[in-house]
Amino acid sequence: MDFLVLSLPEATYLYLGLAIQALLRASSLRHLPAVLVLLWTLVLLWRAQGRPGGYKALVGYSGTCLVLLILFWPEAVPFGRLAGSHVAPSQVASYAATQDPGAEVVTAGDTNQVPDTLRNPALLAPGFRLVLRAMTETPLALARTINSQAHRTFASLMPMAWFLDVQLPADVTAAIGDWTQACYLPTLLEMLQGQNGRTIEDLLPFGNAPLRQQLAMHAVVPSSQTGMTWIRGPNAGNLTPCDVYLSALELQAQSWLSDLKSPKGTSYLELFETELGLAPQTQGAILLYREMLHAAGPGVPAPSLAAQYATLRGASVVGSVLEGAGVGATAGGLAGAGWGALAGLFRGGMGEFQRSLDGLSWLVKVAMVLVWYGPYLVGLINLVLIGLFPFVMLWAFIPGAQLEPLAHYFVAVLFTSSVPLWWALVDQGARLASQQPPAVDGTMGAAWSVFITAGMWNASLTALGILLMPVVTGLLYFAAFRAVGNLWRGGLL
Amino acid sequence: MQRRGFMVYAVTGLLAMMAPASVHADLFDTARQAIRTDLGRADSSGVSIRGGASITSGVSPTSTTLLRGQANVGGACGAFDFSTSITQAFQELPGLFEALLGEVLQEMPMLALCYASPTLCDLAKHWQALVNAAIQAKYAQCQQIQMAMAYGGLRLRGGNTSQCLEDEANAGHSISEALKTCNGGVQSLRTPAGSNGPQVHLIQDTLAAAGTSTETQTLARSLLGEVTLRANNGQLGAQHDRPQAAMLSRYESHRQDADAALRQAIQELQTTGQVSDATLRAVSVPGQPLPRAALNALVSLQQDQVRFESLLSKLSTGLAITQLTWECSDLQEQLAASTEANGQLTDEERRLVEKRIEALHRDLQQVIDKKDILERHLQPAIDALLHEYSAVQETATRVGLRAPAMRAPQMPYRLQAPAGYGQ
Repeated sequence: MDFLVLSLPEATYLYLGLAIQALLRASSLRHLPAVLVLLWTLVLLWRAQGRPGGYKALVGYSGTCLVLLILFWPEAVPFGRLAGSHVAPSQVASYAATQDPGAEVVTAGDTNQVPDTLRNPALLAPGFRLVLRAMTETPLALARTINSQAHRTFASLMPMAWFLDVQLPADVTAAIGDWTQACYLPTLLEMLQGQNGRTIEDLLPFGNAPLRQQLAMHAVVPSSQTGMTWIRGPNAGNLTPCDVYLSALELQAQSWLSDLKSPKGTSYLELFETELGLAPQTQGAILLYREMLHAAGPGVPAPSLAAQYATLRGASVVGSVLEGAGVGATAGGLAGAGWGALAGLFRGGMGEFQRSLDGLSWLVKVAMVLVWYGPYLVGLINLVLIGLFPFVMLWAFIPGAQLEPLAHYFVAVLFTSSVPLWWALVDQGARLASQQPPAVDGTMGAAWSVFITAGMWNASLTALGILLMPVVTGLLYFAAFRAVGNLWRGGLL
Repeated sequence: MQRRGFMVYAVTGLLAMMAPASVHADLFDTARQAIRTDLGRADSSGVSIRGGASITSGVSPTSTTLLRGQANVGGACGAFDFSTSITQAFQELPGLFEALLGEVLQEMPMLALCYASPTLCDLAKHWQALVNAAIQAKYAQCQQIQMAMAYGGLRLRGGNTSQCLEDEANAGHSISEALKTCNGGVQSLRTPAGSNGPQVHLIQDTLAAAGTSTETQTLARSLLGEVTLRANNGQLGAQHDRPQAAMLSRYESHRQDADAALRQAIQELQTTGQVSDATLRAVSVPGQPLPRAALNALVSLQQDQVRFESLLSKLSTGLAITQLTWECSDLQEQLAASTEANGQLTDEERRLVEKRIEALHRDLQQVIDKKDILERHLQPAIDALLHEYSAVQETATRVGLRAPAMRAPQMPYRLQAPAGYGQ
């Protein structure tokens, strides 16, 4: 491989830029450097007459131009094409794709996005080749050094987006709604009225929570609420204990996750376990709980998150519960107060879950947009920079300022070629920040807490990092260049 | 027998010659003439003869409507021609004497026994008293049974007898002949129209006499049935025909008509965008035209077949009940007015008609009560069922629309994301 960039869009646009540059250099524009150099030589010759040492500047200008033309525009020099080398689409590759054993698309040629007119190998100027390789490989090398997973940056973002978007099948959704109305809400009300549910974790139907044990005391006919029978048990009259009903739903949710496949063919169940660290039981429970919240009414959020936010929003949660209880008591005495407290619980504490879920989804979407379209954006800038390089070269034929435009240009190329470095830094930073202690108690609530917290850190830092990192590195590059340039001018003076 | 008759006439003649004939004849003749003159001309009902002094009360002889409600037999019995009656009584005297003599001869053995042996006579009298007591007791029991069974018939017969006596008086017959005629077999009946005939259709004839329409008479026959009075072989018979469940049938008929009319109106509105006056009348009830907006609402709800049918059924039921109530009320008023205005009806006949009117009111109330029960108990259950069914449909639709696809997310580089690696 001649050139390695991080992503596939960068590889494609890099090759397209090189091909366009070769076209421009080989066009009739190639005569323009000779004309410019001849004119400026005549001007310098006229200025050198009668001035001591005037011919030194003329010789220096001519020699510099000749070197620049041989290095960066060989077509403008007789026999200069012999100094160049050709580069094909298959020689510009994505580093991440090369590291993926199952990747089918690795080089720019594999993407089928290179137009047929530009598919022939492009002649590359020897100087540009050297500089561009240095510009692309240096940030990549740094990135690999900084982040061992530089070839798989932001690997958890997309699975997280998929997990948040997973919709359970129609039968499971209907059955969850039925179970929520027939089993969960009545049992929850009993717990609240019996003063057995003190924390939000107690009111979860998962694990060994008291509510789960209370569920075992109830039995219902599945789908009696919705009128659509999806589940049939072995008992007479299809009477099913509520905890058994819940277990069946959990298994169905896990089964559905196992049926869903990623583009590469990996089951979601396995993918989420690998990338997000969620056990299959936890995945099923989280999806189940999310549907329960939808079925129970507007805004029934996850309890684990309420614990996370207890210090921040505890007052508002309690306030909502008390408000709901007050409304219920006004409407229907003590029993009404029970239902009111239940409603307040859903509006308050459990509502936190819904809001956090919405917030996480929004953050993940923003991060996904930046990660997804960032390579396209940087690749397009590279395409313009590299493809229109001959026009930068024309500035280099002006006497007295021949190297400065080139220096500016290559600093810009260095900036746009630093994507691997940015991605590696942001990914590393987000991964470090989102690392959470494992859910030692093994409850769904703790696992959910880990998932939400890690996801929020990951997504928010990714989004912020991708926006901030180019600004910071750009400031560094261009400030350093200006300082060096000032030193150069001062030395010359 | 002829000799016995001659003896009777001789004794009677002797007694007549001994009586002060001039004085009695003058008083009686004066009284007879006064009664005959006044009663025969002044008031055929004879209501005023009981006072004596008010015989010439001045009541118009042609006015029969003023006193029609006070007709009774008593008056009519005194309205007979006294000379005809006394002549007939004298004609019956020989027969009476003959019967008296027969009775005396029958008692002769007992008389002889008492003269011969007073003791045996006492024993025979005692025995005769015992036998008479036993026989009287049986007669009393028999009469009680007969009276109880004949009560209903006598009430009906009483009015007829009264009318018969009135007719006999008007015809100038003697009281004995009238009593013989009227207490004997019934040969004809007076119809509500005033004529005599072998049978009377009480409801229909009463309405017809009042000049009601044929539709009203048909409706009365279908809802009230008929009471038919017949004079058959000297017996007065009454036949009661009352249609079973006629009111419910009428209601069902109205409901089906309303349903069909509503559907036709909806079809017309849907097809032409307008509803003709005739169609609108067909779906209206007296005093309450169906609003056009109601038809528009039904057209709009036609897509929701479940709710449409339920609402259409409720509307049809309401229209039918209203129409039936209106009809019954109208019929009731007409029949009551016809009865009140008719002077030919006896009290018992009026009572029978009033009973039918009460039955009509009761039947209507029963139908309304039945519909109320349906509305209060069955209809809510049906509504709840339809509501639940709609809820299940909605749930199924919502769940179905939310059903996910199993298609894997699409990637721009086959299995890989722009970042370069696949997952």
